[in-house]
Amino acid sequence: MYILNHCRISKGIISDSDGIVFDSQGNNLAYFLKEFYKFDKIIYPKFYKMDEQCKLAFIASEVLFRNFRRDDYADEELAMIFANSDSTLTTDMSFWDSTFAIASPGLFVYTLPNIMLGEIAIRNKIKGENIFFISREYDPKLLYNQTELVFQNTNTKIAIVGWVNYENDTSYLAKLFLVSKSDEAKNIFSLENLINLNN
Amino acid sequence: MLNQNITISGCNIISSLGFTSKENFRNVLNGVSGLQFHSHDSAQPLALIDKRQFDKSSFENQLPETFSMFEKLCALSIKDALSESSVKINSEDSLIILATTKGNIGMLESDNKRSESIHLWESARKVGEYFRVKNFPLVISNACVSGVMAQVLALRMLNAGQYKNIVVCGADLITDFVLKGFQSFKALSPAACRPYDLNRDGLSLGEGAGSIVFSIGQSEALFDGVRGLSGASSNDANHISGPSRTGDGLANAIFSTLNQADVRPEFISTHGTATPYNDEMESKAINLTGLHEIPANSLKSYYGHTLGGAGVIETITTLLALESSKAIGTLGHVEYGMAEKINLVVQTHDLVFNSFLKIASGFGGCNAAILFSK
Repeated sequence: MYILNHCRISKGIISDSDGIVFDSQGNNLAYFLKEFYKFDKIIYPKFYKMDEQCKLAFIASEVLFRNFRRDDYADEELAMIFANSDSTLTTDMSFWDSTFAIASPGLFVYTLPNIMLGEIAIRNKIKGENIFFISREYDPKLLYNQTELVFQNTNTKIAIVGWVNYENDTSYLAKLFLVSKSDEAKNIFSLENLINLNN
Repeated sequence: MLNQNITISGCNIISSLGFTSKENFRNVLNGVSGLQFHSHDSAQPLALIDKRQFDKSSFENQLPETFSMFEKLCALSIKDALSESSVKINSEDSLIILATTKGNIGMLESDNKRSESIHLWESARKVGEYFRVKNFPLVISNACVSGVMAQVLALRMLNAGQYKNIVVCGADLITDFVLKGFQSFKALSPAACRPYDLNRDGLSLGEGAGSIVFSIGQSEALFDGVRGLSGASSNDANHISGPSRTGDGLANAIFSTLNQADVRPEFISTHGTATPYNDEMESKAINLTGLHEIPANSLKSYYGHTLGGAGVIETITTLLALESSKAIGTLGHVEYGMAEKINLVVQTHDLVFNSFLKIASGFGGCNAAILFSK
């Protein structure tokens, strides 16, 4: 198992395995994700409907998939194993606020953490395993173990693994890893690399 | 490849239909539905847990007063499931997996702000501490497939030798948050839901918990030694809040599950929420996988849709049905209304079956399946 690419978004900086991709320190998340969207010439109107946490996950996955030969794999051979701490608490609070006027179905749909997986799946036609865990902190052991089990038990050849947690516009973190079962790359998929890369 | 000797040594259901799996099953066999109209919101029936009985049970079991209702529900359910079994949940080789969509979300209703206690891992920590576990409970939150998915993960981890015993607890409560959400989506039927019916017009909500004690290589086994064989999940990659129009996503999860085992299911417990799109999608997936002649039912009109609890509660009910050789009918169903035919069980009747598939689908385009066999 190898890590083909990795991506981190935090504190206004987007980086991947080659280093810093986009630096917008000092700007809040909503602003800088939109800036990157334009900078990277992404055309995907659904982006604007997403809540902030999904936007964060979406942009991290866009960076992760750069230079990835997606067409080498069947839709069912790609899996996603994600986790976070807050589930969807920020959007939960917005939705609950909305119920005092007219409860917003557009917000309600974002009150499930696995919607992030759904958004990335739709964008990239990912139809394999998708699992969402909640843990207090980033738990590399959990992600490593569950990814290994997915590779062992299913036809999965590629897994997108990681952590996306959004609390507010200044407190957020995305750490994603693009993991291949057999295609070789510089970094092996190991507990150590889940701790050291994207750090 | 799965197929190891994973058996079940305990189970529990707490729902609108009772506080033990046997009490729940007796009501299901008698055609009783937990869906009732309640005075505080009579726009739709809800399948609610009897609060008086719940408080009495919490008191008798001396549950900590610091526990929320959600945490009490999980603790009561796990405790009853373990009471039948010799499994020591506080041993090094035992784990609890908690499956839920919204846990303590009701806390926002009195105070709409961030707190530690609203987090799902905090509920898991408290429940784990109550049982003095050595391993921090795992929390899975995959919308309405959470309960099936948690069981699939249990099979994988037991097979890999990571644990000897895993208790899966799936639970969710009906809160105003959840109710208003589904109302805003216009997903609720004004009457008790009618799965696979021509005139089905939405789902009915329920609340509850289901717990199953899975063990590997244990001699004590319930349900005539039924084993958990294999399972999988999949994504439709189609829409975040609507099911696929073709059923191919759910079909993928079923194919992946069946490919890992050499057993064909003899019964299917469907998700069967009774929304127009879900049931249509499921009937297509069942046809795509060539399982359309296998007897199938939906249990949603008994329990309501219990969200994170559904996959576990409905698995246990089907295990009890297998043990007593009964095909449980789809309550409320009158006239079949799907483009493609499935072998829907309408009336409860005697049926010997040795294996079954439990399937589920949910928001985010997720699907899951799990296979059990004698």
